[in-house]
Amino acid sequence: MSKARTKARYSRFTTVAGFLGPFLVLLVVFRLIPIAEVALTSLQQFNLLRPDDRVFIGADNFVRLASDHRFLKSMRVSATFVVGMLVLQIPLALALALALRGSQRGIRRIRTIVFSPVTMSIVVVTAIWRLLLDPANGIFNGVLERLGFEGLDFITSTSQALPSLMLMIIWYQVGFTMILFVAGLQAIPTVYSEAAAVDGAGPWQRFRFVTLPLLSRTTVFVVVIITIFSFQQFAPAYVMTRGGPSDSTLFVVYYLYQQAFSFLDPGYASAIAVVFLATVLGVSLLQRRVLSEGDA
Amino acid sequence: MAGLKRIRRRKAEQPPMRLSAPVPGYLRVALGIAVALVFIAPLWWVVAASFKPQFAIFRDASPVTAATFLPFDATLDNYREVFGRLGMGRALINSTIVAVSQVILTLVLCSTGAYAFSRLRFPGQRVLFVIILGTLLVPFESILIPMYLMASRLGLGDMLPAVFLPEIASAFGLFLLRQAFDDVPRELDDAALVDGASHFRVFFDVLLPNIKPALATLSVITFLWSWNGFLWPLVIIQRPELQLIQVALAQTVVPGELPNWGAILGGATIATVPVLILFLLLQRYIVQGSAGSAMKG
Repeated sequence: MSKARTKARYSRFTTVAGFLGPFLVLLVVFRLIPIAEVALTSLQQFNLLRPDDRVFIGADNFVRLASDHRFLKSMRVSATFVVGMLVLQIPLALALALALRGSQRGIRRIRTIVFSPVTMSIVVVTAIWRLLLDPANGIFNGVLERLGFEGLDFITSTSQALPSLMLMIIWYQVGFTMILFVAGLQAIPTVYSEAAAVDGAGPWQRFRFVTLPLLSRTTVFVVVIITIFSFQQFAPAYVMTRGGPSDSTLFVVYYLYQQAFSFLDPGYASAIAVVFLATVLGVSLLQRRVLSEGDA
Repeated sequence: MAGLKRIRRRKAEQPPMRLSAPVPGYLRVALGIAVALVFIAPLWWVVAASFKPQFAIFRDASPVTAATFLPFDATLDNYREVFGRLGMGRALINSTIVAVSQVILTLVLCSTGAYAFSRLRFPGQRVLFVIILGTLLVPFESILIPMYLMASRLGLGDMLPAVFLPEIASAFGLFLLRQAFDDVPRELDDAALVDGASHFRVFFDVLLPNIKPALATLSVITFLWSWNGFLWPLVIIQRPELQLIQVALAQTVVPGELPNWGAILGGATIATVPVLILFLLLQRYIVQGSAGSAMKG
């Protein structure tokens, strides 16, 4: 009896192990162990080329971060970028979604076109925009001059470089954000708007007091995901600006990469990674809490 | 039955625009075309200009005219450079190998793992599922360094599998397919199990055929992620002959130097055309996937 039960248990174990084992092994090796290890390496000092030669230095890396003005600058750049994306991209995406939410063929086709940059890689987008933004021969200045304005410096200017990258990323991502809003809008039953219209509410009132509150789940998700995406920005700095001019586009992930793979200081880079991770988790948690409370 | 369904759908689709469209029709059409142009004109220009010699690219760029978007003086010189001197043909092959392997292995690992969570019972199941979902909150960039150390430790450094092996146990994929499995009625597999079928048979013959749309969505999204990936291949692959297309393209842009216009335009075109075709053929699944991720968030 008990032998049979043991056998049954054993066969159940092999079934579960057979189905879940491969997934779990890779998840442990390439996600869970690295998550634990980054906390450890942030307390160590070593050269990337000699990873076995590590010295435990306690919180020294974090103390160094606190007075590293390039790190502080990189946090400011990333924060500015995140805020810019939230303030500029979300209203634009919502406006596009409201205008293009219908299911007529022409509208669906425009939605497809607005979405299409999303399928390109960030490297392709950055490479293309490097040419579009070129001060001497770029299309942007071509259009500006055509309209009788003077050309701009774009990425060669400390004040225009980050806004130029914001413009680029909005162009790249807004189709994705729009699709999220379209899906959210389509999930709202039209009876509420209709009832409000019968009661005499105008288009703006219907949007503000009916649609927007009912859309809040989507909005929270969009805010959180745009924040994370924007914090993660790396390729535009690597491909187009190398963080310049004079660190004006020094995204925090690019600074992390620089410390690890250019200056070969992975311990210090890990400390940056830990702060980066804590910031992303903290901010998105806060956003979920504050924004979900708002609509209760 | 089918007729009734169609009527109901049409009814459901109609009203929203009527209600909230205070803008006259012709203005909306004009606005729609303007919006579409903003997103399509740069791509159009890239492809058109990739067939022009450098002097013509500059001549046509400023001021902007119709010639900017039409490849007069067409030549294949840029593509000769891209495939010849820059060796991007090799990079295209490498990226294809990586993306196809990644899609196949992701499907295998995520579907079997999702089956375990949907149809099997074992101790610690719920906690494990929460842990797996929790990894989705950790941005890849924050574990870049330990991932690099792990891959080198395992002797994967500078090999193509190093690019896709860490990605195939995808928490997103597991989650997506688990939802799909949960939507399949249990009566189907219970019947098969009573008839003496093994779990593997049930998984392979009963459940997998029932979640084809979810498998398609996961395949397309995984292919896009893999093909477009940049930071991980940048750090893990050094040998030039193993370079992937995105890294090869990134190297045609050298910050602080004058850009090599022909190489950038040709490289961007060949790096994008495969995914753009894929997108146009399979956009249903891509849009479904991204909208679905919102509903679950």
